[in-house]
Amino acid sequence: MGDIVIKDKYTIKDDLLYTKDSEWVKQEGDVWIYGISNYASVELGELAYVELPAVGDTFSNADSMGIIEALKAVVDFYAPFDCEVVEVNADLEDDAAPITEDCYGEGWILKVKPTNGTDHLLNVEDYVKLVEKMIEEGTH
Amino acid sequence: MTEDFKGHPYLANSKEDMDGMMEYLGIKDVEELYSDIPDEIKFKGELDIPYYESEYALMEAVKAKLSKNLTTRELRSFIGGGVLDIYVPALQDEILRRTEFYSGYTQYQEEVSQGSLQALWEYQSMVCELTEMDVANASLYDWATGVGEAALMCARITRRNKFLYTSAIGPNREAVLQNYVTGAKLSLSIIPHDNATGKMDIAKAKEMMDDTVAGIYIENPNFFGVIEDEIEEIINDAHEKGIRVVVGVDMNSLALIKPPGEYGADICIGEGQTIGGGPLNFGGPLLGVIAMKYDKRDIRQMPGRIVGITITQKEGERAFCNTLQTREQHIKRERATSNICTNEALVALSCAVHLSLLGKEGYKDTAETMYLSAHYVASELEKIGAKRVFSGEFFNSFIVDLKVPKDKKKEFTNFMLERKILAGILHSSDGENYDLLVTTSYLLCEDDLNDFVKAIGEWRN
Repeated sequence: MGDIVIKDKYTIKDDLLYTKDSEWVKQEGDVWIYGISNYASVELGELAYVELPAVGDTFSNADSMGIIEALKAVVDFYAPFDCEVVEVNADLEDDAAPITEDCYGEGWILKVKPTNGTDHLLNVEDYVKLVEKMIEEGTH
Repeated sequence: MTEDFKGHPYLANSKEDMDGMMEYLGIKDVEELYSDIPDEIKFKGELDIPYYESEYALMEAVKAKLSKNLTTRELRSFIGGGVLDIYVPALQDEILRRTEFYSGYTQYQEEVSQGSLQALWEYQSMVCELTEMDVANASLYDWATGVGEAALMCARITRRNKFLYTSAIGPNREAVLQNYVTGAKLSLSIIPHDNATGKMDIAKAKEMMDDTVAGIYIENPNFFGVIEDEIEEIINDAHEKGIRVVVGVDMNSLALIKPPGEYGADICIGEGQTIGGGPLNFGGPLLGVIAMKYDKRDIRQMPGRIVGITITQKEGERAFCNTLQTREQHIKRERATSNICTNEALVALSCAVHLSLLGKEGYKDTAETMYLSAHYVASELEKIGAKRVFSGEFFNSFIVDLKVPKDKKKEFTNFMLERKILAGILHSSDGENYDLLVTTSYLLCEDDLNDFVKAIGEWRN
């Protein structure tokens, strides 16, 4: 299918799963890599700081795991499912720019291990529909 | 209120207005608005306030009442413990009361008020220079809230929930700290002091510092007036275990003794009233000083407003701004770094003006005067047999062994008041006998010091 570009502005990758809060995850063995989608990073604009959880922290699905500070807004990022943090991208604490520049690559935020189900994640079609709906409703 | 009340010459609300408002609120009596206040602390009976007086008669009545107050202008003050009798030069008031500055609140749309921001930035810079720290905020309420905020900061930074403090802490600061940490579920432990020197027990401190401790708070000079000259010995230990070191200072002492930034403390707090925040006034307004070493991650845990300096986008002109605002309530809402949203901007400004007027030399001169006066009083008292309780070196405060029995405290205070002396703070370690914490400001002249020594001699006889 290939990556999807919405409104010439937001790139949604087709090989990832998503949450309704615009985070992406990708399974690699036991561990899932986690970040925010390009839609979220474009909307946030230039970032000032990322507050990461600690390795070993455990979260329930949709718990706040940390905070992303943009220049004029602060948002939480949420657990994609019940999980334990196994690795954090600590470089982001010094420089959050990779999230803006390469949110699906260098800008990954955490690696987590699910401690329960992951079935509720959105596939790319559903996530794209959700983004289109948010744009239409102006709730983004 | 009288039955025939039709209105009041100075209040805009007529009886009709008030009835309308009460009907809307569904109450029968104004008193019902205060029903949340516990009965035992409510004033009972009728307030005996005359209904009409001429302005002249009113002013005279107020003046007569006020003249019964005794202030540090009529009395010689030996009170310290976190506040100090200071002199506010006329010029300080003149600048402070300029309409551009004179507001109890931080300006809204602050960046428009570049002058105010610059003044606060200057204040922060002075605090950093005095404490040798990298970052200061634009003020907290007072020293006591500073202790609470610093404890919470350490907990957030380290993600630990134990906090240590030394026993030689000001009692009001200890009380505020205890209150402050209850919500955050921080557990507190006290490091004892050495009974001979009055300094913290270093061995015990080291023993109590393990890697579950978030931070340690030490006052220097401590509440007993004693200089804690061994803090450096625990700094490395603390840092190796990831513990943050918070030092509470007498801001005047920094003119003569090493500032916390120099010996490796992470956070420094103190009281700004004593360096020019303002005169003593029924205990306030005070000024909480807080400063820290720079760390990109840790600085986000500092509470309150921080004013920064930058350049404008187009012309590259110098500009002041609020910085790191994402920590604050108006952006981060319930997850804000602190619930401190008001600050003491006006008092901070006042402090900056005071320090500017004093200058580097004046600041040092006043501190030297305080130091010399205290040492003179201590040695004169010793001559008449009134010894210091602790042997540790001191700045401008010390505890003199008086052993005033609990039931004679009032008598002692009045005895000294009769001699136009505000004697200091009575302090007890056992709740039975009270010793006296004596502090000398730079406003006391030789006669005042001699009168004090004489009065103590008379009391002891």
